[in-house]
Amino acid sequence: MKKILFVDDEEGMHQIFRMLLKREAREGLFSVEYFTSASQCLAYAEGSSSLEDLVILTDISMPGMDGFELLERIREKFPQVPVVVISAHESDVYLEKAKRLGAIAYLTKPLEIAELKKLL
Amino acid sequence: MALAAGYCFIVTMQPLGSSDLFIRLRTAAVNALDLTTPSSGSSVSAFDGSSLLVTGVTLGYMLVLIVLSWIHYDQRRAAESEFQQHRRQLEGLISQRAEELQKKNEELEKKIAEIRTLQDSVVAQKKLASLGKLSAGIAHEIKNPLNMINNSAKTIIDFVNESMPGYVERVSKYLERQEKEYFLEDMNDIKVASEIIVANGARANSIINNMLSQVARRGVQARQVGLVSQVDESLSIVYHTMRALNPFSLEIQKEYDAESRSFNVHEDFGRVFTNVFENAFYAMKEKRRQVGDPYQPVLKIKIQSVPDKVLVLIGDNGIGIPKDVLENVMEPFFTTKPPGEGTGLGLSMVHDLVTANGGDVDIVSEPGVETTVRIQLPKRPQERSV
Repeated sequence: MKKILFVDDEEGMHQIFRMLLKREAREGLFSVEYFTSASQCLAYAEGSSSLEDLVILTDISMPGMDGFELLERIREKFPQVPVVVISAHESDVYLEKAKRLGAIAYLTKPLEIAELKKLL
Repeated sequence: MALAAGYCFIVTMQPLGSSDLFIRLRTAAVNALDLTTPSSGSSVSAFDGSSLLVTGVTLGYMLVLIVLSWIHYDQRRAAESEFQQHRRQLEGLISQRAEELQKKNEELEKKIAEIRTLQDSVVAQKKLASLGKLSAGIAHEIKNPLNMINNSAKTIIDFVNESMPGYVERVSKYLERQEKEYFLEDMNDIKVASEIIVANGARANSIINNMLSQVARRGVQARQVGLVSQVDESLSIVYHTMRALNPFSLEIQKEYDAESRSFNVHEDFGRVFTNVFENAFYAMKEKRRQVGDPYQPVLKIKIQSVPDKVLVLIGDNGIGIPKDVLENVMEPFFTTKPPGEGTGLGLSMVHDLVTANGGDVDIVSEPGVETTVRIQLPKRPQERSV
């Protein structure tokens, strides 16, 4: 079963993400771990026994380590873990940067259920 | 014929010895000399006048030539010296002119640079002003749909809290165990979702109110209050709020000159100073977080009256502002603070209020060392539209 690591400094987004994918979660397609900072997520990944089913979904603008830095670190340490970047900005600059750093997708808020489902 | 001291010179116009007269004259002269000076030896010299005449004329001519050429030379010298003098004068005049031109050139270059700087700041101010106007316009536009969202979300919350529990209880009696669990979860999520809407709607609303408050207050006849008391009041509010949240010791240096105490400002300036103080405290709090105990935060406030203006200088020794950030700090929505800590409207509001009162605000900062916000206010109040 896939395990999604969802990173956003706003806890309201955790609830929204949970509600959006509630039905899929009930079907037992995946489980989700929520983090309010990139460093928490990184620590979790480092402590995981198996990286195989991990998928990271991260916000970009966060205090301390931001989403891009998390993406870089994950690509460096655990290149097999796919990373999806989420942002409120529909920016080509962000999109380009996310691609360049190796993100598998760039999603903008508000999140669409269809897009999330397609990804999973 | 000359006769003197026993010598006699006889000059004739004819060749010597060719005339009886000459012989007689010579004899007479010899005799006469013998009579006048018998003791001494006398001599009589006779010259041929014609050769003497030629010599004389030649000498005379030469003399005339010498005199003439001397006169000419003298005149030339005078002319030359006059010419030299003129030349020197002219050269002096030219170099003076060149110097003047050089000076004028430098002045012009300085003026051009000044105009360019002024132009840049005018462009920047216009940009800020139009951004301010634009964001106020957008805020108005957003406020209406946002109000509808907030009102509807409140209705949902009321329904969820008051009527729904009863319905849920009655309906869930008819559901299977698993179905009932999902149903309760879904009903609870309606509550969670509407709470998120209400909380974030209120957040968006406060951002918009913040933006609109400066526009709304303009035009209303505002009270004038003492500048010094306004600065102190704002400082006190920010100081106590900050102290309550992050207790740390702080040195405050105040330097208010006597003349500035009689200066009044628009009561809205409280918001200007509160904002500047909040930024200063934030910078010092961050520096303290980075450096730790050896760091001694110092806040310097100086109010100074100069001709036509009153200056308010607020300086802190906090983290400072990098150059690229400094260029943008007064733009609406520009913030470096994490979400929830800043809307990016504070310094934009400071800029708008100060310039609307005919003043000016600028910030100088050395990252890691200090930052000073300089607010200049005209002594004669003048309203300017933003």
